Amino acid sequence: MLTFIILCCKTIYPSAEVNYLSGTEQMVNIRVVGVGLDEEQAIINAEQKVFDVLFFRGLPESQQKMPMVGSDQSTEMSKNKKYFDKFYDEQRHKTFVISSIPSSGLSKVKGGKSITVDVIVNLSALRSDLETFGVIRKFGL
Amino acid sequence: MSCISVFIYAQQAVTVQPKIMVIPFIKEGEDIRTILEADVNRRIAITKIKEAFDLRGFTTVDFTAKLKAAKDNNIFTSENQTDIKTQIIQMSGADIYVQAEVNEQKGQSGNSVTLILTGYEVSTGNSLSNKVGESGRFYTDDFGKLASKAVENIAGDFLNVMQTKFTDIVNNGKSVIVDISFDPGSQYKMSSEIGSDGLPLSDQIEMWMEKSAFKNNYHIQGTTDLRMIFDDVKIPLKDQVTGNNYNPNKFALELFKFLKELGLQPGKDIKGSTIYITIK
Repeated sequence: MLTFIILCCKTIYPSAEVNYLSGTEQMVNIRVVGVGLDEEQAIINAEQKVFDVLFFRGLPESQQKMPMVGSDQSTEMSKNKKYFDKFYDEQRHKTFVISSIPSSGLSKVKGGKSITVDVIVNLSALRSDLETFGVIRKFGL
Repeated sequence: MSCISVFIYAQQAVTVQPKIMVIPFIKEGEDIRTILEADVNRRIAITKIKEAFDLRGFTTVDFTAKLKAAKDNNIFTSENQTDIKTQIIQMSGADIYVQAEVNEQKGQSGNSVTLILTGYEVSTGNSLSNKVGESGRFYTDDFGKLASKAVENIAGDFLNVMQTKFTDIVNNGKSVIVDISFDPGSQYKMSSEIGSDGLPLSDQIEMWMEKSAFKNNYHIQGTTDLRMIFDDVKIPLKDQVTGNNYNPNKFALELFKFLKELGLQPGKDIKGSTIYITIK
């Protein structure tokens, strides 16, 4: 009974399923798996996962190996709540997506439907936006 | 009835940015004064690196312009290449230099360029970023294009690492070196008991450093009876009281005042981020 209670309270984080394909200092091409109730929701989920990784994890092999914002996701998001609410909830993230092309069909999974998407992100514009809104500091001291 | 409008302008001190200069790496026998004139591929690499800084909105110090100024003013006092490089860096006023080493490789499976990029703080030698960039192998003799590609492959990453070091400086202070010694004719030594406490001078200095170093962060390289060197003392970027920009000169002044309060006669000299205190 105690084990059941403990297991119920344990948080299980899903894998980001974000893979670097190619990129430069100004843009990055990423393959990502998104999940949603339908194709549109799955694509949005995929795109937003890309930004989660860029902001809070960094992407090995790319020119953005370090997180753009910081590793402590919950603290950083609450520090800049207004910015991130607009970015995710109001789908402002789409303004930084150069292209978002499904590379697989829609398949049924637990929780809905999943799709693999190749997303190209405008890193320069994203960085500039984060600097403009004070989420990160401009280059320098 | 007259209306009086009062406008209060809040002045926020703009942080002084470090001066960064991109310079070529020189091998034995090469002349740093003519190296760029002789090699277009190195010029391309340096220009691409400067472009990366420009894209981040950061202005660098131009090496070629400083070199020309040095030549025009007959600055060079030695023919030794290491000395010339040091003189150029010093007279440029650069706080950070980014050194670019370009290596061309020719092979049967194609040609490539390897770029070694290193960034240092001039006065402390603290490393800020290091990356090795590869262009990849191609069947081409356009080494300029390969050099350009090698820079593009690492520039963003290089600057991101440098930015994390800058963030560390903003949060935890900038490094200075403090070198305290005595005039040859001075009656004092580090073991001299001075001040109202009658404690040895070296202990008095360390206690002051404990309170004055930013977040109590300092490192003593060594202490002898004639010299005390703090090879890494953190000072804040902003004055903690006024919010104004803070620099090694101001820190040196505080140390100077402290030593005067102890009844000593100090002299101070500041070169970049190194503070030399000489007690008479």
